[in-house]
Amino acid sequence: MKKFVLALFASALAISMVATTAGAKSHAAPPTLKAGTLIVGLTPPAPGFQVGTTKGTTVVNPKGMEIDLAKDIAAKLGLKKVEWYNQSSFPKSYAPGPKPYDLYFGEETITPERSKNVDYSIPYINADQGAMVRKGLSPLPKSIADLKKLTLCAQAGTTGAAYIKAHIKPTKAALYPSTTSIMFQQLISKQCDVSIYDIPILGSEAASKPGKYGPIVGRLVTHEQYGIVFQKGSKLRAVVNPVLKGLIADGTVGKLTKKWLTVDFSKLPIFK
Amino acid sequence: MQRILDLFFSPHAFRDVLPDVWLGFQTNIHMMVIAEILVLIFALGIAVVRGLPGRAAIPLRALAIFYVDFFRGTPLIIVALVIGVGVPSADAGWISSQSAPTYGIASIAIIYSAYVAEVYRAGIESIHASQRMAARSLGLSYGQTMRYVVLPQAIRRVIPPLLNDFIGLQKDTAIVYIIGIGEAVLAAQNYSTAYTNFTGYTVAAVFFVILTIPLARFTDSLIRQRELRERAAA
Repeated sequence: MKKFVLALFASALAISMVATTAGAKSHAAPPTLKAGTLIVGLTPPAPGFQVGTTKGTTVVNPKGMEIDLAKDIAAKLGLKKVEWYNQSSFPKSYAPGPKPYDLYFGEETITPERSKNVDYSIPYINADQGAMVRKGLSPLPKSIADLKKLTLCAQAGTTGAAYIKAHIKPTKAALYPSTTSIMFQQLISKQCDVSIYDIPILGSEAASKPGKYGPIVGRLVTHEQYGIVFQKGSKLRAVVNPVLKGLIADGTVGKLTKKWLTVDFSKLPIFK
Repeated sequence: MQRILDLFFSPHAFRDVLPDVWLGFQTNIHMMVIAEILVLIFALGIAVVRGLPGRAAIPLRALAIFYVDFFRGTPLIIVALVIGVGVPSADAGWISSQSAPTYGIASIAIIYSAYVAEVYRAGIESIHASQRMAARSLGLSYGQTMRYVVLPQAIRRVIPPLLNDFIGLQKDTAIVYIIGIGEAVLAAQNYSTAYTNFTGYTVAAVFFVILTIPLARFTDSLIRQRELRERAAA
């Protein structure tokens, strides 16, 4: 719990820092790696967020909520060109050191640990963990106590995996597959009863394969927030944050979320 | 330097992650023991089939050769994905409703049986043909010749290379983490992604090394014993 309070505090701090730097905004060209171009790191596929064909270190014609958001940010910054960089390893996105891109989108949850190595923008989505059951599971779990008795699955190394270990403590061995596609396949093949994962991703997956899954039965409150990732000490962050703040305030981000991610997560019951 | 020490050898992280990795490593031990037993039996079967004489056995021999060629050439990770993710999706009764570690064991056993079958075959072929002929002329059947004359010598001869393959097998139980089995590497990965600290991998590596060293020394001593015995006989 302490971790989440810390995360909240960190994001509050980030927001207040934006507020102070926004006043001193200069009109010079944004500090990108390549003048006039925004290079965006991605780790496709994440249905709804970013889907595209990867070709070496580039992504061809990506689509999704984060893609539209990145394009909007580039437009607001006055950058004419957006290039997509395929960061095939997700953990690399929050590893210390220089990045081959200006910023990175990967439904990445802001955590205090990761914030030691990279900088995050203000959050663009609040995403709790959701519990999506396999097709035909009966009775449906209604609480964390119900989840304990089922075979759970979460992608290795994600907040969901940590939540299972720290809070649900299931009696049956949980599965921690290395990719989301394997996790969803295990849910389809009934190897796994309930998948614990970020609600927007569960929602978009269920929407992309109708009839393959059971319902999303509940929400596990983890106060997760997705942020854009910058190299530690990036100067671009101070420029992007006010732009992102504006896009959130004028409803653009809300519209994109509704367009690409069909779930209304505020209506799901909270599991205790 | 301090940063590297903290990332890979942090005492704090070591204490934190040790119970998780140990719990995971028990799954590795479980998988390797069962897989090794299966491999010992299955590979011997393949090797014997491959050595069957006569024209009638041609299809069986071809099957054994195909099995060895195919699975010795296929990466374990592909077999693990096909067995661990594909088979449960096939909706084929009990075969599709096994637990993930069972699929892991099956994948490892399938691949390593191909390797170990070749080790057995080398042992069988190293027994001089005159011994078989002698056994057959004494009235032993083909089966009896194999059972009482060829295999006892052949197996004893191949134990060192066999144990060498088992060291490989033990390490490869880490690969099946890809299908989500909660073993040592996965525990380390979960920790590393949560805290950006890689000490868990170091701990897991040490566990694997600790397990293989006694096996390596045992192999050494077997080789030495055989050398002494053969020198005495000569």
